[in-house]
Amino acid sequence: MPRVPRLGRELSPEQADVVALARRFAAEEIRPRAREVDEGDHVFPREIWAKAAKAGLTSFMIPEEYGGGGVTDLVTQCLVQEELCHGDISIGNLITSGGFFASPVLELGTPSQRERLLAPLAGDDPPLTALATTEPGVGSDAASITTRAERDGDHYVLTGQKTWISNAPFAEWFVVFATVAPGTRSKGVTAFVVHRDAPGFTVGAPMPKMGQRGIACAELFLDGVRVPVADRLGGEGQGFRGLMRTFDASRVLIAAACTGLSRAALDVSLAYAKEREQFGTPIIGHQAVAFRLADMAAKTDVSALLTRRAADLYDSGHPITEEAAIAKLTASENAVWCAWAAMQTFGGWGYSREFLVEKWLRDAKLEELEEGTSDIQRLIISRSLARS
Amino acid sequence: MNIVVCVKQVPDTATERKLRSDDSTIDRSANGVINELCEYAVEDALKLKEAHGGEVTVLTMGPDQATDAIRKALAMGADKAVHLSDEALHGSDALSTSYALSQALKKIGFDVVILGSESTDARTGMLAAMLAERLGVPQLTLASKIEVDGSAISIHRQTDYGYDKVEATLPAVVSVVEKPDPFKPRYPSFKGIMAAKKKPIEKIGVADAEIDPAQIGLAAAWSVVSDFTAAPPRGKGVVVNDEGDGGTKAAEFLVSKKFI
Repeated sequence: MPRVPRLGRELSPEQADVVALARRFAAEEIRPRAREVDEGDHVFPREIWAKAAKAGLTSFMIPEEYGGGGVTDLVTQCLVQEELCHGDISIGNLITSGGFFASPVLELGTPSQRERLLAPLAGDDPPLTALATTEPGVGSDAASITTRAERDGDHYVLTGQKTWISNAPFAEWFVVFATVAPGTRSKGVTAFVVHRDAPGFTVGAPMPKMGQRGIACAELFLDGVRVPVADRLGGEGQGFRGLMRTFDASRVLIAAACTGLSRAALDVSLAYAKEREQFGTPIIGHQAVAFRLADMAAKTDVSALLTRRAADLYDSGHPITEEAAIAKLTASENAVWCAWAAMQTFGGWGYSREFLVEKWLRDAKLEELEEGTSDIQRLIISRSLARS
Repeated sequence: MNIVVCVKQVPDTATERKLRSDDSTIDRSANGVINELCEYAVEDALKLKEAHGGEVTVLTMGPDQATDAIRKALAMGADKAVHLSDEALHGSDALSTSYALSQALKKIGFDVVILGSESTDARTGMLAAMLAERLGVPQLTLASKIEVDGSAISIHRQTDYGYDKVEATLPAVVSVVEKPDPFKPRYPSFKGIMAAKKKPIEKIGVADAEIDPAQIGLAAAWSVVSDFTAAPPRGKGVVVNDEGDGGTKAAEFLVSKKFI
């Protein structure tokens, strides 16, 4: 039986049901395909996506009024994310990736934009979507975006380059962040919705990656892409606000994903340590191994609890920049550590591609980098401390 | 078409299952889950509804916590549920269970009743046949496929040589078996889970279903559990060191156990 961190909170019957669905889907549909998707390298696992869509797992976070599952609270979203990522973090992240696109649409969009853009995500054959912020010269400092948006009548003309855009090779719709006023930092940042087929819009080849290969990333090239004013989300200069709110939530979701990976690492390590015998006893009988398992459990529970705290605060409307950063920083570093500890427990077999732990170590590393590196999370936390 | 699916909540097969020491009935305080074959029954019911229209009603007999199994069936897509729950039903064996369910079914009305062919707890596998007799309708048991055409119903029953096609006229009772993908039960969708809480669950007792209390419960049971003991823990297996003759030794072992 998988070990589930006890948080001292009762789940509501509906939460228990959606968690059970996600757990079952992860065990039956995701985990068995994890190795194959990794080896396939940036191949979109279309059948898993389709099955997940049918069960509502790709659109559960979209409000009911747009046809989604209506699970709009971050706490439940995190519980689902954790379970899916217990199956496999890259496939789990893929399945819920529509949430990243939906977030700025919900935050900044008009009711008609929401209806038009979100309803297809909740349909039977939902498109993949993407969020485009990062640029070749713009990573952690998102306010310094250089992709240009120039007004021309009832259109904007977008010119620039994006990189590391998750889902880009297969996405149909993109939210692209560009600036209408270069040199003004966050004041000019504006969000636009761009379709893949827009003239002047080119998607590069999938980028080769160390892990999380279930999600394909690519560069985007915008060469005078004309975007109707109706496809601008929010007002000019409001994009950064939408982006920061999206990041607050997405960092907590990353923490939840990391908790799922840490739990998976502990589950397989525990089972292996009970079964593998050396020196005439299961290796869990050796204190060096047993104590490492104890540390895995302790770190996994810390990740779960910090995730829950940040999600609870978010749901009650509090600003959570500091708590989201603490959750993301801690859970991602714990996930890397737990994957390392799993490999250590498996010994040489952990280094073999016959087991998933080597993959999890590669996968986990991404979470210390994306949506703000651990360095940036520490910067956010320390700035918040300095302000207090 | 009026389709009723009988759904049972059983102790989770992944956990240790126990009998109660006081009256030798199954300890239902353990973690309850929907019986796996009942999920197949719900799936088949939903497929019939999708093909022919109508309504799927879930019927469950069991204690209060059996609502979890009902909600699962509703989340998969069933329309409504009837929960037959009464202290007096405690300890009912297969025969009295079939009587109680038949009374409830007469009250609900049905064109077809679908059940899993057995439950993972009692495993008698007799309920569908008993129910059909009680209701005076044809029984189509161990179905791997169900087809309805007007008032005719037919099933495929898997055999060693292929399958038998068994036909009857509605109304009828059908019991279903496990099937491989892509015929596995659907996942309850998120929307289904959210919608399930708004679907009606009618709770009825023995009196509501006009069940004669003398024919149910532990006292009326025709079968009696006179004694039980826990299964002994599994012993260590035989380890054969392969010194070039591993295959022979393995074959000798299988011969000694009459497997080959």
